[in-house]
Amino acid sequence: MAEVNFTNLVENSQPKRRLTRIGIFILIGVGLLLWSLLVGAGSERGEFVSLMLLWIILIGVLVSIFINAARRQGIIRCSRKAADLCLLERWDEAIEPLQKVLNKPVNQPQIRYQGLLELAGVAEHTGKLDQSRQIYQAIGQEQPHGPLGRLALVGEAIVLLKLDQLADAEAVIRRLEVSVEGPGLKSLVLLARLYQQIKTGHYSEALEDEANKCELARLGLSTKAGYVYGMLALAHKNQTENQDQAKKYWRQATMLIRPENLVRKFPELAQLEQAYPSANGLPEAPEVK
Amino acid sequence: MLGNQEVQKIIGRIDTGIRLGRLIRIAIFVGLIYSLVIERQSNISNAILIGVGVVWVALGIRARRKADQTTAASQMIASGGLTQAAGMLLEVCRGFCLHKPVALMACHNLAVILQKQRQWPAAWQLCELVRSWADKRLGELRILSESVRAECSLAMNNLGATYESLSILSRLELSVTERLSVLPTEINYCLQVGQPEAVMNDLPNKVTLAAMLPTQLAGATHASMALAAHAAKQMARRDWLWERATLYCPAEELLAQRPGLQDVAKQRKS
Repeated sequence: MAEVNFTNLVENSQPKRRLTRIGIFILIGVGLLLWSLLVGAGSERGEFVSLMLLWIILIGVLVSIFINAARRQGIIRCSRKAADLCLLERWDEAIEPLQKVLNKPVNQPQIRYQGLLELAGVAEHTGKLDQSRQIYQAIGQEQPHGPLGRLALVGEAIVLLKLDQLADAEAVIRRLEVSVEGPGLKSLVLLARLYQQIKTGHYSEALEDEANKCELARLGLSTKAGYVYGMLALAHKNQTENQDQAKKYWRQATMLIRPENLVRKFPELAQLEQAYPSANGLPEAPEVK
Repeated sequence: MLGNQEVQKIIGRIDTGIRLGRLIRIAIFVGLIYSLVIERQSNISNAILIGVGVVWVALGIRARRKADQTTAASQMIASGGLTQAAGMLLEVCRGFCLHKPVALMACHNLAVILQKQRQWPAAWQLCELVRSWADKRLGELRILSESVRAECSLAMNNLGATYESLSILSRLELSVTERLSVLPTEINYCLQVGQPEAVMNDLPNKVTLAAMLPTQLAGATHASMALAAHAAKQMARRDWLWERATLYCPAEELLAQRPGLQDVAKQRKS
């Protein structure tokens, strides 16, 4: 497959201005009216031509409605496929449907922003961190106050940390900490903050108010709370050398998320994989005798 | 909270609105054919043409506005603003809307709110209305509404209707998000009809899906799977599922929701 430039898709998916289309329709309508008033009226041939024109335009409008509806259906189908693949973390396979959705202007903002967030996720997980940051940044700029914009800012903060752009990441996390509400977003900001503290070696800060952090992560992140447990395990290992607590957190983390996935997302956790036993996966079904 | 009478009124209005919309569309089509083919170029046909155009555009703009309100209400539901969303949807449902999909989507969203408020019979009735009008073109809406219907039926202990909805859904090709909305009902139904082995079929996939659910639901679904594993005498799996369930929700919370889990919790402790 050819190398995909993800950031181009942000530009390509910009919605067309509706006024242009309405303007074209008005122009056609006025033209037709003038034609029937100035040329068509009076002669039989003129009347026939204006009737034909009317039919052509009517058929044209119907055809364009059907083409638009078919295109919209196609976009919805691809967007659902991409969403499914991203949920299943099959990032490489999600590229193709995302390209189909975002290669042309998308007039439904919900579909466009959802697709862009997924695209940024794909870029992040396929190692194109710079492109991922640019996409998150573009969403954040277009939707500065909406929940999708805030989600994009969290993504941007994590990617900036992975890129070692620590000062920029700090600025984004601070901005988020003063502006987000609700357990869902707050827990995501907590994840970004914890990662920043782990990345910069501020383990004691990571362990402050530990119980509340765990509770917020549990309520807001569901299975992804495993990342928070993993980071707390790392902080315990390196700060307090409380092996039992670190071991307990690592077990909880690996009960929720497979160790290889934890490490793929946050490579800093690799040292825990070697230090502590991971939880087993779902046991096999007993053999039927 | 919506009263039963109010729900009945809304159902009546949407039903009448959809019928009226169908009549208006037929009238527009007949008017167009009459003025463009049968009686063309006369004053009457021109007047009909202009009239049809004005009505079509006016109703189209109205439907567009209602579609925007419905979309905004969906987003509010997702972010937890149920009361505000319900107010907006009631406004959509009370007025006439030419486009059937918009009216049915508003009706479905209202059913989702009632489902979240545990007003099962009212939500079920709205689902029935969506079911009676949603055709193949509205496949996604049908699936969503059928999964809400399944959950309401199960909560109302109407196992026949639950089975009917689940079997319809099992014949369709569902997306991951749609599978997620059906999974908890499917598992609870199997437990209620005494078929825990059915839950154990394809368990790894079910666990993968359950992990994508929001915290409370993920906890409850893992706990249900643990109960099924206990009943199917797959103890290793039961312990693993229960341990994972308690990472989503505290054990006391799970036990309060489903006292049948006492045995699972005890066995795990011992």
